[in-house]
Amino acid sequence: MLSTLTHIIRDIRAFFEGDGWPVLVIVALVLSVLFWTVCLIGIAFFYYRDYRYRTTYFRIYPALRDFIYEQVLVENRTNHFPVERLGLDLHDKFENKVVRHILHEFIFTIGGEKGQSMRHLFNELGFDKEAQYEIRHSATNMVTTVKSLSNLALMNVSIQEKILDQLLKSPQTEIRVEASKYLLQVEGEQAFDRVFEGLYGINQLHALDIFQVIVQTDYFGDYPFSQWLDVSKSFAVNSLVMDLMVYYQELNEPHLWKLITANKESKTALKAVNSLGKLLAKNSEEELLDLYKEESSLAGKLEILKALGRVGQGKSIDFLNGLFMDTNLTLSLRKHAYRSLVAQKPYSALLLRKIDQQVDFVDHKLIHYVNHPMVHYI
Amino acid sequence: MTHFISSVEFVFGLYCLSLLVVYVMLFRLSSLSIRKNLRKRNSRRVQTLMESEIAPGVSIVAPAYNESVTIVNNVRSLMTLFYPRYEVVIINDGSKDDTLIKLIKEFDLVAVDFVVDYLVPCKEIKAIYKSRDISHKHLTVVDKINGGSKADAVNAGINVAAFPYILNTDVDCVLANDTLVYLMEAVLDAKERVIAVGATLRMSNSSYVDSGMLVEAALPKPILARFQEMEYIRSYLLGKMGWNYLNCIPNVSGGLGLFDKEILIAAGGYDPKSLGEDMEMVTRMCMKMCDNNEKYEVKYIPQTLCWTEGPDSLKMLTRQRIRWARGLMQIMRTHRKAFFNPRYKKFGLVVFPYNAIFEFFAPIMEISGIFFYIYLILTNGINWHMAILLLVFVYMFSVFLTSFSILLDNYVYKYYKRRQDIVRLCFTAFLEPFIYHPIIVYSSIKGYIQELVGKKHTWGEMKRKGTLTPLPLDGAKK
Amino acid sequence: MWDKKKRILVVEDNEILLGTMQFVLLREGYDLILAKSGKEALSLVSDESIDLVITDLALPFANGFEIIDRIRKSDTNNQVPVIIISGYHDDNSIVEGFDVGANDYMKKPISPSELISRVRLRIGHA
Repeated sequence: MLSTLTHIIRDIRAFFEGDGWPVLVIVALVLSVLFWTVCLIGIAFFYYRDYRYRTTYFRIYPALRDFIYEQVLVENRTNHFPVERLGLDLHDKFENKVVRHILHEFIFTIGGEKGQSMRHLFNELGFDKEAQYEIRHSATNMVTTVKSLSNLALMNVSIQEKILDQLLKSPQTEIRVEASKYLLQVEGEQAFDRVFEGLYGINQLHALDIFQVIVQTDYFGDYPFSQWLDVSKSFAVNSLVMDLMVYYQELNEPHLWKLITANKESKTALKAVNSLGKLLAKNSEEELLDLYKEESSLAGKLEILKALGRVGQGKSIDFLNGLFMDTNLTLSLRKHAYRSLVAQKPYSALLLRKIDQQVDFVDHKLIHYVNHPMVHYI
Repeated sequence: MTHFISSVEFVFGLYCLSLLVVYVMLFRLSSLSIRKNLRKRNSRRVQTLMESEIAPGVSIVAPAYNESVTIVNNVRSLMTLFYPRYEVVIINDGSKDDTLIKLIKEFDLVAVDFVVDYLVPCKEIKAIYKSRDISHKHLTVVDKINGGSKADAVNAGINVAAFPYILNTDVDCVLANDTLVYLMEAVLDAKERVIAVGATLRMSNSSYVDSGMLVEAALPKPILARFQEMEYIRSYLLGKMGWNYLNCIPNVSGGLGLFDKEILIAAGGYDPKSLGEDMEMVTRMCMKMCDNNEKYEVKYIPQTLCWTEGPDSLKMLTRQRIRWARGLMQIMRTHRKAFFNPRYKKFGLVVFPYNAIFEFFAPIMEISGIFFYIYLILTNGINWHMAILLLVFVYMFSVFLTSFSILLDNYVYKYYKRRQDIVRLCFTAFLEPFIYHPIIVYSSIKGYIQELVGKKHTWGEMKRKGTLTPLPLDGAKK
Repeated sequence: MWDKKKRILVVEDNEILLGTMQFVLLREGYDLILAKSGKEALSLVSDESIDLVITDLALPFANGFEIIDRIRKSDTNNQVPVIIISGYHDDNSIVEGFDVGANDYMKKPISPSELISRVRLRIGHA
């Protein structure tokens, strides 16, 4: 090994001391100059591209805006828009991009019936055909497919089942997530089973996107999201389900406790405890007390204390009082113990009065801090 | 003797060749990393996270020391970032001017009874102020005894902060409206736990600003600030984005950095004695995660989210760079156990050695190289033909790397509206090796010497010029 | 005898939404004052002739909450009705909006006809 290394070093030195060295440097120099030139051309190209975009935008925006005002807001047209009056050339890359951008902005700005009309306008300008073509032919190009799916969802246009199925099973997570979002926007509650069945490999950002799509639809029913809680699934999936449970106030204590007991130290368990609190799981007060005694992490203990404040029916007030009065305990635990006691009025009213009379100056400061109307986050 | 000379030559040659290989690798990786980031960015709406009620909370922690000139506008701009769940914690670090009084008056603040858990060490907190206005309920002002460093002030903010993520910034930095959205997206869009996220910083000197909000970015007029702008673009877009691809980021700047509070606290908070407290903090956080055998990511995003006033005088610049050099040396010394230590995985095997060999040693190699060169000239040991060829190549290569960084920056977003700004920036690259680079090398060597002899560092004061130029406004439209 | 036209202060930094509201409200015959940032709005809130304020929450320099708070504390316009239009749909923002003194809260995207109805509810026809 050492002799091989010595040989290599000798060969490198021989090369550099020989004729190879100047040639190499000249080649490197020429390449540097070439690449530098390419960089300058590239910078000029980006400036040109931006210039074209801006000039196209300033040309098209007033006309498109006035068209929308006239057709959608004044004449209350809902379809069969006279788009030929706009004189747009949507085959031009810049015009296409500008028109899409402006229409997107209008669609996300104008709601109600007029918003629907805006989506029809988007459709009638030919973007649905373009999007349909793109998802059929560019299914591996993430950006194109995601944008097309997003546009098709905006226009509420249906996709062939075969293609949709392929997209839902795509190896690229972004495409799968966008296809799920499309389904949710177009089919609403009917899509829940299909979307949640196929949900895997997502991260927290994808989970947040799906959550936003669901809550921004008109859905307001009693679909059992909790059936999708599963200890074998990732934190992102379980977290999404729990956020939906909280949003739609679907309490399912056994499912949440299953998650907690499967792995008490995990993020999923912490989130489940948090969800129990937000869902006012009154039957879980005693179990939460038991869990506190087993919990070792500070974050876990804090979550349990917060949840006790929300769900408490008086069974935990002595315990919380004990924590607050223990001056050796970490300050953050004492703060939250006291806050949870306050949250359990009227059960804790007497106890709070007693505390107020007993505690010293330093703890009075703690109490004032926790109770202060201007202190919102502790 | 000849053998010794050729061995020294060989060492220099190998060092330079290795550096070249690293830069070529970063050249490739940075473009991949930025392309990947932009593909994701362009396929989603910023508003999704901006309007989400389940967005994780962030505490903005911004120390202020003698910031009377700009404090109100800067705090206002921090208070109006577009994000649904965050608080702003301003730490008045024993200011001698009327910084605190201005804040109290502007935001109708009153002192509240408080109890602070000193989870990370800092000087005593004298008072905590909250606003009587319900519209400013997200603002907390902490008044504390000066701890002699920004690190101490940030630690106080960490102790008071309520949310699980901390955005560490300077109060004089101008942040983009959607800073928190971009940074939190990077946190959520990850496989492993993200412990720190950074973004590109630029110089705010000569930019147009209105009441703490950036209206139009412009290339700095002072030449030193312009060099720094160029250096930052290269360091972030080429360097950090390249390392981002490998999850090997060495540092998240103190001017703008989002951190996981739990890990910050577990690692012990910022070190007030460190002169490079931002890099030292990230070093400790990474080592802590490795000690706990937990996977993590440190990420960078290429968008410019923060504009900061850079030193535009030689004195201020050298003082800053001396401090950075001393900070780097401190880190190398304090955390030397990480060097090629497999226990610290990528951090120990890649990040730390790279910083030690190619960041810390670089000025030393340069100065030694210059002396060696002079020796060879005096002893007629130079092959002039080759020497000039090599010099021209190195010069062109450095100009190319800077131009490539500018290209990447424009690929991300066209920050300068005026064409002449970009042209001037491109030509600044030609001047850098002759004017700016020697200043940096000199400052670094001076910093190392000062650190070795144990000279006490004096922070000095960055005199706020308010170099941000207000746009001629035409008033409210009626 | 001419009745004075009802005057609405609209505070919104999104050009498209601002333009749409401007178009819709002007068509209804209202008089408008436009502000694109919190700073502009704060300098206008003591203007005597405002009959209604429509404001976004996420604004540069001063957010919608502060604008409403300033209105409620002003001498001349403290009774002026305020409608919030916001992309923040969470309960906290809605509650905070009403706490600070708003009279109505509309979530984006805004339906123009619904906006007109709510404006009429507060101040009647132009």
